[in-house]
Amino acid sequence: MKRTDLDLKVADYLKGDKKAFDYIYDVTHKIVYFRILYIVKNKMTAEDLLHDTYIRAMANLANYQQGTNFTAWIVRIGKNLALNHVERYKRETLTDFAEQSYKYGTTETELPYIFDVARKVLTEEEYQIVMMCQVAGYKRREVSAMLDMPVATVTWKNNQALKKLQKHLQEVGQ
Amino acid sequence: MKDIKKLLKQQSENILPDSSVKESVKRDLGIYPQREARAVYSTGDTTAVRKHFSITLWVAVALAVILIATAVIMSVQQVTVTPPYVSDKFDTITTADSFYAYGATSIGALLTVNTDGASAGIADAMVSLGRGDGNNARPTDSQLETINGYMLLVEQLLSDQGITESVRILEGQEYAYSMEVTFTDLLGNETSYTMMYDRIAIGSENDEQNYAIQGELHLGDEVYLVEGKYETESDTEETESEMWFKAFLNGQKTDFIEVEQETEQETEDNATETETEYSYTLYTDGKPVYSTTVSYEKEGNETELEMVVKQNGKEDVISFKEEIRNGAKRLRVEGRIDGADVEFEIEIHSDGGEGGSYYRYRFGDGSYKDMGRGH
Repeated sequence: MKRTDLDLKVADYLKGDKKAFDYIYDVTHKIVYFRILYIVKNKMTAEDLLHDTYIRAMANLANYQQGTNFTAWIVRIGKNLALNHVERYKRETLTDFAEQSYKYGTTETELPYIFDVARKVLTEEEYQIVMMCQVAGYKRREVSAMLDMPVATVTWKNNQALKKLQKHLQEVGQ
Repeated sequence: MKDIKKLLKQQSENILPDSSVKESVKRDLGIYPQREARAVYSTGDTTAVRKHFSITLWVAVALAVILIATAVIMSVQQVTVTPPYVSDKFDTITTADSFYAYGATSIGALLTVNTDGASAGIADAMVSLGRGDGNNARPTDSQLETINGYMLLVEQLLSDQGITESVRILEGQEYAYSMEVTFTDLLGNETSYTMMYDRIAIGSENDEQNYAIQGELHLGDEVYLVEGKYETESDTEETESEMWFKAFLNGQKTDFIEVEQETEQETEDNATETETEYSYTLYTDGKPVYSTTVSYEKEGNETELEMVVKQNGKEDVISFKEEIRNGAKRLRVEGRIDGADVEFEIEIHSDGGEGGSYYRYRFGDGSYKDMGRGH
């Protein structure tokens, strides 16, 4: 993935080429989604917020400054929406959303155990890298471009995170 | 660490966002699919599809082809042939050409068997693949039909000879390249398919190692549009790659078979370990219907071919092992299908070249069932 291509598509969209949305969404939505999921820990909620993120981003696309990393810009929008959601949820109910979403969610929204462990054991950055490299199927150089991070750093953090996960699973006997 | 990676990958479908989110966003943004495009592709005719690729795409492809052709013309002007290789076919897939050759032959085998298409020369010889002597459950006829659909691919992968490819540059024709791929079945017969295609640069235009293709695969009288991508990236610790090859079954390109290479290479304690699998997925209306992963399992000098078939959330495992007993080749099949262990053996019969050949599935109770070989 090249960010320059992304910037060009953003410019195309602003000029009225709505088809450019497909490209913009396809190359950015997974990293936005995982950033949201890390915060809300619920797939359905994360998907709803992913939807809201793109609606808000496309409505405010003129505010994006070309060449300043569109991915990081839209990820920030998603993250803010997720944090707002958690805060609002906490105020509206007495339930600790952050720790008990599974308890109060439906079975459809439960995530496989490995992802629950990953969220608990890994830092937000490690979680993001592992999800993008191992789950979403991006190449490390693509992730490095999205995160503005050297490829070697992505590789190292990815390996460290995997080792951390492995160690934790071994310790709990999984 | 491989287990963790596998676990994450296996569960990826359960965590990745649903594709309906994108459609929902597009709906709310007032973005709708292009009706004109749908009308063009609704003919279901492959020729129509090929001719209606956007002009922009063709210009881009043409430019890419000219640039690539200029860059590589000296090196590939002559026919290139990869020598045959015995045993693990996956070991020989080290270049874009060899990957596309494997994609074409293996998908060609699946399509040939399942559409009763092109036939190859059939020898008088018969490979005797012995009788199972266990008491395990016998697969149902439906299960046998599924297995039968993979048999030509199994033969390709277990035969003693490698898959060869011969690439030619075409001049003044619709496509820039032609590749003839040849494989040998367990009876020793050779079958060839022809693929014509254009190369499309990935990243650097001077990169001769990594490129995509777009073209058509000829299986006898049948012609399938094909596309593929071969891209590898290496560093000191790991090699990452993206390799896929698709053959489209309809003009709308919503139905297709895709083969993807999945490789994990890891260096730990100065030892490099590589695991290579090929996954075949059938898509209908753009959605995966079932997938089969093929891998070699090696233990000592013995090599088995393992297939994991996934459909409707269930997973069946079948392994094929070639045996030689009393001087005759035998293909022993063991597996777990629908939760039951199965074990049987397969013979390949040829009736002398007039009527064709067929598979005889022999079961532990002495019974057998004959099924068409489709090639």
